Amino acid sequence: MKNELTRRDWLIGTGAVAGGLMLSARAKAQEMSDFTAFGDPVTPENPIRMTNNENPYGINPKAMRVITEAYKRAHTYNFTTGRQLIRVIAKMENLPEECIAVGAGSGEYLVATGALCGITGGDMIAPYPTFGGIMRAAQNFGGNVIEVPVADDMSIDIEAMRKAVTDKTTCIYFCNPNNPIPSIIEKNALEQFCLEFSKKAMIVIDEAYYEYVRDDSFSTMAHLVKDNPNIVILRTASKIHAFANVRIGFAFAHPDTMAKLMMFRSGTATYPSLMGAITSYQDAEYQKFVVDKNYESLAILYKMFDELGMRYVNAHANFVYADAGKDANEVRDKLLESGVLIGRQYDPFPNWIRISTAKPEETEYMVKVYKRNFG
Amino acid sequence: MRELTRRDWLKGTSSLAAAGLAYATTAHAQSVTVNGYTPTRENPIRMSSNENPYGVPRSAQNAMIEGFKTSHLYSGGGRRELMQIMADQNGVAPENIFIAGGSKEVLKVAALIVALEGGTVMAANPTYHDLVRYCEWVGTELKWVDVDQESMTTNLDAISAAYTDDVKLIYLCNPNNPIPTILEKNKLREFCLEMSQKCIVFVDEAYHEFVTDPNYQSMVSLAATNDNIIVSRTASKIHGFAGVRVGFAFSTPATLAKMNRRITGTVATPAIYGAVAAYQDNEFMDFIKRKNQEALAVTYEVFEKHNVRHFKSNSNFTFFHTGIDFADVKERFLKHGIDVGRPFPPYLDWARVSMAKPEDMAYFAEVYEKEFVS
Repeated sequence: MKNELTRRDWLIGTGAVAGGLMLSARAKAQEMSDFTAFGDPVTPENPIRMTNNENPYGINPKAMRVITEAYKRAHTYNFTTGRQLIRVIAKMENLPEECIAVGAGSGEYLVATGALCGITGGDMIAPYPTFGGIMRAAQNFGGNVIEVPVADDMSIDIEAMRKAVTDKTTCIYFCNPNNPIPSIIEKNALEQFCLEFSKKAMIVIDEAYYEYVRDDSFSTMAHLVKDNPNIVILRTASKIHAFANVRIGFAFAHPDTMAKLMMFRSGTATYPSLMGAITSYQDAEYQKFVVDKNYESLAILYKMFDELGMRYVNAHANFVYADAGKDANEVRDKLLESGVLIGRQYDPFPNWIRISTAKPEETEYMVKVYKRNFG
Repeated sequence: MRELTRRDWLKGTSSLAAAGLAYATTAHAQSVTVNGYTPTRENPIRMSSNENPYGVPRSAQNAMIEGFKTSHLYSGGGRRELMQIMADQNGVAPENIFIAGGSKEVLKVAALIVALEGGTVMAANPTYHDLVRYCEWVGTELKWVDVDQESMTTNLDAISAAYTDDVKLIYLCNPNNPIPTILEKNKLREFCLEMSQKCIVFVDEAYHEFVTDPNYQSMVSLAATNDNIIVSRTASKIHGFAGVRVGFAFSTPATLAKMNRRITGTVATPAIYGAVAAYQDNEFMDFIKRKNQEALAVTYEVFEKHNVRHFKSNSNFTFFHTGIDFADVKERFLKHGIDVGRPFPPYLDWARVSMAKPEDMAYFAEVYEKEFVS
C-alpha cells in the first residue's frame, strides 16, 4: 500500500493529516521526503535545522562568486582586506574606521571583552537567560557573573540590572535583541542606561540579530562608542549574512578600548570570508530577502501559537520563544522523529522552546508536525 | 591573445610593457610565468613573506568552496578528521593537537599566558617576530640571545647560560627565520628536556615540511608528553594557506586546555576542510618541495658566483649578505618589480629573500647582477 502524502496534501490540510493520526514510519518518511537538507532527503539524522538561529538560505550567491575567486589569492598573507571591509562597515554605521575591528566571528570579541572585564576579578552583570559566551570568558579570566532574571513579560529587566550594580561591577552585558528570548530593550531607556552606567563599568551590547529588527522602539547603541570608551558593540555576519561557519564578526569600540581588546584577541579572519563579507554587506537586496522570509516564517509560527493558545514572545530576530507547556527536550525529541530539529532547553524555563526560523515552507511543515504531536 | 613571454619583457619593448601593466592589477599570481604579467613596483613578484608561490592546492580549493555551501550553519565539521590526520602523520594522539586560526594564534596565546602570569621571555636574535612582538606590546620583558657568531644558528648553550628564574618561556624557531638554519636534533632534544623542567619551551616549526637536513627533528613527540613543551605548525607555508588561516599547537591535553581558555578565534570550517585535503595531498607537497629546491639552487648559484655570503636553506627562503642598508636593497629590487623581505635588525646589511618559482628566481638573479654587481 502506498500512502502518498505529498506536500500539497498537507498544505491543503486533508483530514488524514489534520486529524492528528499517528502516522506510520513509512508515511513519515514519505512526508519528510518533500524536503532536502544538504541535498539529501530530510530524516531525523538529516533534519530541517530550526535550532541554531542560522540563515536557512545560505550565503549570498554574489558573495559566493567572490569567495570562489578569492582562493586564487589565498596563499598570500593579506593585510589590507580586513581594512577594506572595515571601510564598508564604517560607512554603513557612520563610524570612524578606528572604532571598528573585524575578527573571526563576533565570538572573538565576546571572549576578548569577557577577558578584559574578568581579568580584574570584578563582577559582570548579565540578564538571565541570555547568550552565554561572554560570561564563560569572564569566568575563565577570573571574573564573577551576576545574573539578573528577566521580567515577568520575559523582557530584560533593566531596572533590576540597575539595582544589581555595585562597586565591584566591571561589566554589564546585554544581548539586544536577547537570546533565547527574542525581546528588545526600549531604545531611550537603554541609551540612558548606557550613558549613566558606562561611567562605572564597561557596557557590552551584543547586537547579533540587529539586522532582523523592524521595531522602531529599537536602536543600535553603535553611535555611543565614539565618545565613550566604556561601551562595546558586537555584530556578526553569522546570521543574516549566513557566515556562521566561516567566521566574520565585528566589535565597535573607542580606539582606546579597541587597543585593550586587541591584547586578548588571537584569531584572524580568513581572506575568502573577508572578501565575501565585503560583497554581502553591500547587497541590501539579499539581506531584505532574508529578513522578509524570516518574518513570513515568524507569522506562520505565531498563527500556530495563537491557534493552540501558546504564550510566546514577539520576535525581533530569526527565532521565537514559546511556552510549550511541557518539557522542551521532550518536544525536541518528538519533532526530531519527523525530521525537524528545534532548539535545546534553556534554564530557567524548562517548558519553553526556542524555534529558529527555517524557510516558510519548512516552517509550515514544522507547524504541521507540531500540531499533530501536541495540538 | 598574444602570449607575453619572459624573453619579451626582458627585452623591455614598450608595447609589451604597456600590455603587461594593463594586466598587472588583476594578476592572480605575481610570477613571470603568468601570461601578460609584468612585475612592477605596484604589483611585484612576492619574495617577502615566505609564501607558497603556487597557491592553494586545487584539492584544498575544491574542498573549501564545497565547505562554503554550508557556511550558514554552525557545524564545526572536519575538525576531528583533521586532528586524526595530524596525529597519524606526527605519531601522536589527537588529544595532543589543537587547531587554531594560523600558528599566529598559538604564538599569541602562549605569549598572553606569560603576560598574564608574569615573567620574562627568551628568544634568539634574530628570530621570527610574532611572539616577541606581542611580548613587547604588552610589556613582557624580553631577553635576547644572539645567534652564534660563526654559524649564525640559534645558540642553545648561550640561552641555557643566560637563563634566570624569571624566565617563563623560551621561544625557538626551528628552522629559524630569517636565518634558515636548523638546530641539531640531539642537542635540541636535550635542551627541551632540561629547560622544560624550568619553563615553557616553545618550538615554532613553521617550515618543518621544507627541511632536508637529516640532523633536524621535530619536537612534536616530546611536546605530546611534556606540559612545558609546545610545538606550533602552520598550513601557511607548504600548503599555501597564508590567507586561509590554519595552524596547530602540539602539547599535552592539559596545556592545550589551558591555551584553549585563552583563545578567541574560531577556525572557519571551509579552512578545516581545505586543510584535510591539503595535508593529504602528497603530490602537491612533493611538487612544492621540488620547486623550492630548484628555486634555491638558482638563487645559490648567483650568490656563489659573486661570493655573496648566504645560507643553505632548510626553508623556503634564504638570508644573504648585502653589505648595504636593507632599505636601499629593498628599493633597488622593487624598482624591478621584486619585493624582498623586511629589515631584520641588527642584520640591516643582510636581506631575506623568499623563494618564488624557479623562473622568478632566475629573474631575481638577473636583477641582482644588474643592481649589485658592478
